[in-house]
Amino acid sequence: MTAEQTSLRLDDRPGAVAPPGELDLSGLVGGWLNTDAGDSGGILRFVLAERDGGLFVRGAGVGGYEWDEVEAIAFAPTVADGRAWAFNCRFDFGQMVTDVSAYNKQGILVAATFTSFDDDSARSDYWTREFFHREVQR
Amino acid sequence: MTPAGPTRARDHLDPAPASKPEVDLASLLGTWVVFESGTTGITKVVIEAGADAVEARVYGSGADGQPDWGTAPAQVFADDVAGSEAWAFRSGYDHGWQRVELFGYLNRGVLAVDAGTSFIDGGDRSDYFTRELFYRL
Repeated sequence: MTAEQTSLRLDDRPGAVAPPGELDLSGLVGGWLNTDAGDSGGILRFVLAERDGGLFVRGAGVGGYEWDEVEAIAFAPTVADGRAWAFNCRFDFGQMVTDVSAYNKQGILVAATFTSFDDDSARSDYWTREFFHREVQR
Repeated sequence: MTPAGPTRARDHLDPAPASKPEVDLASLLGTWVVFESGTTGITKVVIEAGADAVEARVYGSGADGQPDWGTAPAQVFADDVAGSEAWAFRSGYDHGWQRVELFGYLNRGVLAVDAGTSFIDGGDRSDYFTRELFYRL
């Protein structure tokens, strides 16, 4: 590891003990339902799944829109931690793109979305922040 | 080009304006300093409007100061499809051995910045995510 590879932030410095390989994704995997139950007209649900050590995300927009699954990048809180608590992913709908930056804070998934349009509509690129709780299986 | 179809209810414009609103950048531009003194993460973010695009300049943390990451293009977002004021930005850095995706947004005058960091150096560090809060100078 070169000096440059630890020089941008003190947070980048390796821990005394290396993390255990692949991240434990159990803190993220499962169904997450918007705490506003769709009143905002935004994202109703995320479903996060683990396959072959990777994290995959499906979404559902209010109004009955199903978003195809995409692969996400999972993140630990620190370079030395082995448990995932956050993820980034991108839903590419063709003429619009939604990037998601989300983290699990005390059991609530806090998701910021950044949506941009590449079409002739008069819509502004826009941002939202939404909150999700775990979906209860009945 | 036909408009992109909606992916959720709030993608609809009602009423639809004649043209895309000009987004006022004033709320986002300037120098933002992290609240937490002695932080081990990002210490400062400068957001500037260039001739053609908005740019972010990030400063990290080090034993001998605040490393300057240089500038990167920043995409700006309103808070609604009909919004005309900047509320958020997205930017990213590829340092060769590390990629950092930055997502920032305003919350009551405070700039919150999510930073997702991925290592591509084959080392044994976990990819990690931080969230830091900044005030404007």
